[in-house]
Amino acid sequence: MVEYAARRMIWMIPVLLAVSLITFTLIHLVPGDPCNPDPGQHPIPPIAESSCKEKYGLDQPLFIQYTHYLANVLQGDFGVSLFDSRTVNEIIVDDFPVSAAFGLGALLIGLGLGIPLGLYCAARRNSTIDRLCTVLTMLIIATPSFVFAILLIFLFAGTLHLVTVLFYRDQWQSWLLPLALLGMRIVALVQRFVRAGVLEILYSDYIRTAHSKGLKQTTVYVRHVLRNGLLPLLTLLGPLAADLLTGSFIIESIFGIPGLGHAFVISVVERDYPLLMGVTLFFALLLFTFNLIVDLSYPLVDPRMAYR
Amino acid sequence: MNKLHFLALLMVIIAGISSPGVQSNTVKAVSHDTFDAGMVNSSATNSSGVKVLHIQGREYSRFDPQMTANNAQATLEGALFRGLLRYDENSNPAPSIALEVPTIANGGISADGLTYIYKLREWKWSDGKGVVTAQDFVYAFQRLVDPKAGSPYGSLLNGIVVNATDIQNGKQPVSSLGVKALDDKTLQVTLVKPASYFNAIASMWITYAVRKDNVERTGLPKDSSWTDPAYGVVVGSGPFIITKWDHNKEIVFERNPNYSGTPAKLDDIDQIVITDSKIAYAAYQNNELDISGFPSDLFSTLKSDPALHQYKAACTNYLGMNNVNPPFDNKLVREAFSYAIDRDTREHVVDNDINVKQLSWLPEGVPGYDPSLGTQFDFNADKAKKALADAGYPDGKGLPEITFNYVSSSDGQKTADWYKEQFKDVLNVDLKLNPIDLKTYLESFNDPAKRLTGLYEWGWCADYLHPSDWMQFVFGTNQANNVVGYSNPQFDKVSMAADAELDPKKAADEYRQAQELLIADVPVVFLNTPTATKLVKPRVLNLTPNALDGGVIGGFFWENIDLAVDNSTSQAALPTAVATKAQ
Repeated sequence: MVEYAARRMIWMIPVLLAVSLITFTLIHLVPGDPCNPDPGQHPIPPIAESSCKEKYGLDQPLFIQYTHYLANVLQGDFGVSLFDSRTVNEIIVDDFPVSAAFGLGALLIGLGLGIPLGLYCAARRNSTIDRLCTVLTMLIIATPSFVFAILLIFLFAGTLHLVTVLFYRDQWQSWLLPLALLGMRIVALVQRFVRAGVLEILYSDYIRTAHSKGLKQTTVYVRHVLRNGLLPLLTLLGPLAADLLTGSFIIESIFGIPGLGHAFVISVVERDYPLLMGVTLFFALLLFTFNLIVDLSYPLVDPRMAYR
Repeated sequence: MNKLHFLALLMVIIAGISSPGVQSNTVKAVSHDTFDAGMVNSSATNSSGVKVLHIQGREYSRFDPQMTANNAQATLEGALFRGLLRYDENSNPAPSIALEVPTIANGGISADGLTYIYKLREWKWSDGKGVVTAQDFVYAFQRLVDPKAGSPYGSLLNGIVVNATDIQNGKQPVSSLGVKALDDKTLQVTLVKPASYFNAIASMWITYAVRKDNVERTGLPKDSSWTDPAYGVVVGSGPFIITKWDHNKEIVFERNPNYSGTPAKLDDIDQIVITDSKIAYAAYQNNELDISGFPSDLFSTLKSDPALHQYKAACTNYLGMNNVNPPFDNKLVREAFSYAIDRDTREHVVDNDINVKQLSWLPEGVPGYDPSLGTQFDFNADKAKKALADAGYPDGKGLPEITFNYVSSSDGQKTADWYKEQFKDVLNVDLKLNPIDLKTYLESFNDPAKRLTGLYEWGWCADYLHPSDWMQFVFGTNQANNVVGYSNPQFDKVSMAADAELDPKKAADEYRQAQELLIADVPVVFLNTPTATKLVKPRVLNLTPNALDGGVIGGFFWENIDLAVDNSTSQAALPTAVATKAQ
């Protein structure tokens, strides 16, 4: 296991390098110049533009810029934000906990509600509840989250006055709406995954065999169906967790939640190269880590999967 | 219930909730009557009587006056810093930290108009440590022109203040700038030529005093971090101090206890960063914001709401064309195109009435504005046809193909389609539509080699509130800002004389004459002035908008803004000066 983990970690290096190189290239292909952000209305005098470029190293050839950046990143320094007054490290340290709190909350809601719902619907296939769940989850997954955001805001904040529209860190009520919005998507996703996984197992030969051997219904369910039916969910969990913890671009922007997703959007709008690079790399690293954790946990759930 | 029925029911529910007309009225009625404003700490006055103004904000990079080109940002800096002068309600320079506005009569300006003396009053820094000195202003001016600092307004003093151009070009050290401290309380500015508008420049945010030891303190992650209170106290000189900057979330200004002017009435200004106008509007309705934007498609619905205010910006938009090449070298052709535009319909159809029709060159808010100028070129289909015929193109015959350039976007397309139909109807001219990307569009105005041929919409916004920023500077022969290639020696003579005129009365006459000459020549087709539209709660009092405030309403007089404790106090105190109430 240790050997496997080590091998994966080593693999991470070329992957992260590739991510950084591709991001770096894409960023510099997009038109727009952080040292002359408003050329139409307020063109920066050439001498000021060149001193700005010099300050941030943007006057160097792209290859040099990239290697300098890499050298700094290896020392744990993601550089300073071009737009913000903070360093990229500070932005990640400030914003990640907010996004992570929402992400973790949404994940707990998603698993806590999604798994039981999925199991129930699989067991009572084609019942009214199952059909209702199918329609609702489809609706939730197919509708863009900003549509639900607006609906819920007008309903719960605008009409019922149960919560505030805007997000205030120190008021727990204002965490509810964004959390519900993030969470309901995960509930829908998990419910569908669990239901499909369990159904597949439920009608397989070995379950029929177990039944015919006279095993109790609950034993079959808990020992065989559950264990195998939840396996696909584990695969989903890695990328899902990484995605959730780094924040939702849309929900964070709508509610004005100062998380990493919001920072990412701003970094694109303001051509904040270092921030964009930093957040992307951070996301890649997180994704890699979670996938590794998931892969390492497979054998614990399914002994057929051994490390090669 | 089968799937289909359920789905149908759900659709009905959703449609009911999201229908804007029904929805917004319901929300409004409820929120005004029953919502307990004290539920969040966000309403006008909380139980302890602390007055907090909540406004919709956006994220900024910094509040560094010398480094600011964005009007909204500059307006907020007006709460934190003070300069030599400031604009009064009529856009004229008024004293701020300087004791008086220098004139020849009071001896502040030398007889040759080249030397300005600003006497400073006793003005404390916000941390209570010391007072603003002439040396602080020297530092501010030097920061502005220092090419290494890279101010977007660094070139504004070029050709006006001694050595500014050479410093910007790296040929002279910043210390050679013609701004000197004669003693702690006397600042002397030496100009290279008489400039009647220098006091208007000295009223801009770029000359606000900043304290060197605060700007250049150590331990900051980057140069611009000095205005972030997370890295230590930010020292200013305005009615407020910045005390909290929760990035992408909230910016809090608190009353400056050491302010040397009239103390601010508000305790706090709380700007909540919210970019989505739908959410801002919902928050406003929920009493979480006092001043807010709203989705532009609600404009026609909200027009009758007394809380809606429309403030004109100091900008003029026009339809531009090259004055050098045919067919627009012919003034009659330019006239024909001006007559051919039904601006009232255009504003309504194309701009949703967010812009306001304007036929003069100077917009409201800039001294010298006169709405009666240019009205002779308003929409008149008969005159349009006649002018085009007189130019030798009866019914559009013989006219070379005319291109309309626009930024390819749905709004751009809408505009282009409207012009195409309008010019076809009135002049029988078929426009060739040329959608281009924003970058190319913008470059065409900076680089003479990349100028667009044909028609395009463009405009000019005031840097400072004075006609000099609009005349020779924009339409002078061979000026960099003269994108249309207009040239009239008479206009050049009058406008340059006005810029150098030391007698304000005479200068105003000359600027008027220059504007009349310009408008008579139809160098471009004047269209409209843009506005900022805001919802303002009736409890917000003494808001004084300014044509330069970039949508952050009331910026130049933050200290006057107050909040009524009682919601029933109403409209009477709201501004009428520059504000044009939407009807």
